[in-house]
Amino acid sequence: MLCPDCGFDNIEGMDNCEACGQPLVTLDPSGGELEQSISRHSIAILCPKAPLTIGPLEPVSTAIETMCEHHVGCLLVVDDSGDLVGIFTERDVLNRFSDDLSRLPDPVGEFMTANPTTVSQDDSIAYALHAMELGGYRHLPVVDTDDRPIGIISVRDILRFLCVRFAELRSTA
Amino acid sequence: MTTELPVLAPKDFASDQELRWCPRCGDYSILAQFKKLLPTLGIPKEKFMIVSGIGCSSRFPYYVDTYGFHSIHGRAPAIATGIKSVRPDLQVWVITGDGDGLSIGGNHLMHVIRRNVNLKIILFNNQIYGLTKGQYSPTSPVGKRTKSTPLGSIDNPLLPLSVAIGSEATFVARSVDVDTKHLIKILERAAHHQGTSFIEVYQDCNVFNSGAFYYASKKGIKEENIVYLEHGKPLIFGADRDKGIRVNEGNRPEVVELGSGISEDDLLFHDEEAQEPSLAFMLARMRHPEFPEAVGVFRSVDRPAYDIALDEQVNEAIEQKGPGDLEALFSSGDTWTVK
Repeated sequence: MLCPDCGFDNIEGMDNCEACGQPLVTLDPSGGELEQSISRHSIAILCPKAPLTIGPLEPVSTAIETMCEHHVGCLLVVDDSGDLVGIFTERDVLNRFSDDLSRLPDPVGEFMTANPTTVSQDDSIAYALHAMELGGYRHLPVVDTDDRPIGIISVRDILRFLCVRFAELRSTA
Repeated sequence: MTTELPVLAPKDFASDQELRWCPRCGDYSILAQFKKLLPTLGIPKEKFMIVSGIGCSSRFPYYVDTYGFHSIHGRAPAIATGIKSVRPDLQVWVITGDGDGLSIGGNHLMHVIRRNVNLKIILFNNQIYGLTKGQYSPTSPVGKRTKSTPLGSIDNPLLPLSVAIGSEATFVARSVDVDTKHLIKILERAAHHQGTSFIEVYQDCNVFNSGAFYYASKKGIKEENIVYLEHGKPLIFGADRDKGIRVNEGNRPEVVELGSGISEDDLLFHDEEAQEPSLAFMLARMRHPEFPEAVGVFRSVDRPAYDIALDEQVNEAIEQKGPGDLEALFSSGDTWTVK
């Protein structure tokens, strides 16, 4: 919470600026409509895409082909019963195969990120952003109440949401 | 001549302050139930006092139009003790969180409970430091990844009710932020208890720890994951009320299915008035997913309240020695003149 008088960055909830003592209670700590909208709206509003899945025993080469074919940046790895066991992303490809292509026939399960962080449709967009920032992720699987994957969201979906909301707020201001 | 008190409504307790919690925060629900409760207690508005520490929950006093004190981090119990000691006519509520109450103010909390000061303490447990944007708290589970535990927490969490019962609390209860009907009943029970009332409320921080209590708050799921405590009644749960809690031969709780030889009479019957706190302690330690988690009043027993005992002690001293004289006290006993 930046003090409008001296610019000191106070912690949220301060009533007076720690540096200059000016009152901060009239400031909106939630950052206005745009910031409030990410905690008011749930992930469902992003209309998560149906996830593309792959089995953990499929070769990495198949995973890369699937991602290229569908122009997506990640695949969810599910076992035979449909349970989410991992996520395989283009970062995994770049980081692990850029200088060694000999293991492309190896199973995806050996290179995926196991037990990925997930979100539910009811979680707020703010929480998804927090989870992405915390883990350094660009994609988050969306799961149902039985922890089965039902969708995927990317940071691009959130960026699109923010752009639309920003435009709406500009037009109504 | 008698003066009729005005009939108050929840809106009479709404302050003119803009609420500064995140949209969809669990705190809103707790605030709403609190404002519904106050006018039903038959206490004049000016006789309520709310004391808080620091944290999201501790902004509570701003949002209720009563006397209030947004005080020092973790120190609300000490300040509230002082208030109640000199103004026993006030009903004093303490609002705290898992960080404020169990970390920064853990020592104060323990002592206010053991003293049994006539305070009503609500601890909002969201298992995270929300105001400072998502660090782990004393109730965060092992393995929880946060900004301050990037590889997962290795700290064993505190169970708030274990702390309260271990501190010899006379009233201990738990509820869930969105279970509004249950929550207001628990708040009402706490309001009428003589001594320290300690309530843990499972509260969702939908920005930094979303869904921490999903299992206990989501309709269609919670029925299998929580058991409502009712004094004198067996512990039954489940959407079809077909499961229960029984104490096995090792004196440990176990989940059983009703029918096939097990009846309600075989189950554990709740006794919130048991002087020995072992039952309450055992129930408080039942954790999801191994057990359904208990909500309701775990313990409600009588013991002299600190503030009443203090008042009696002071009155007795006055009766025996007469009213005090501060000036005389200052110049009594051994005195020295510094030259």
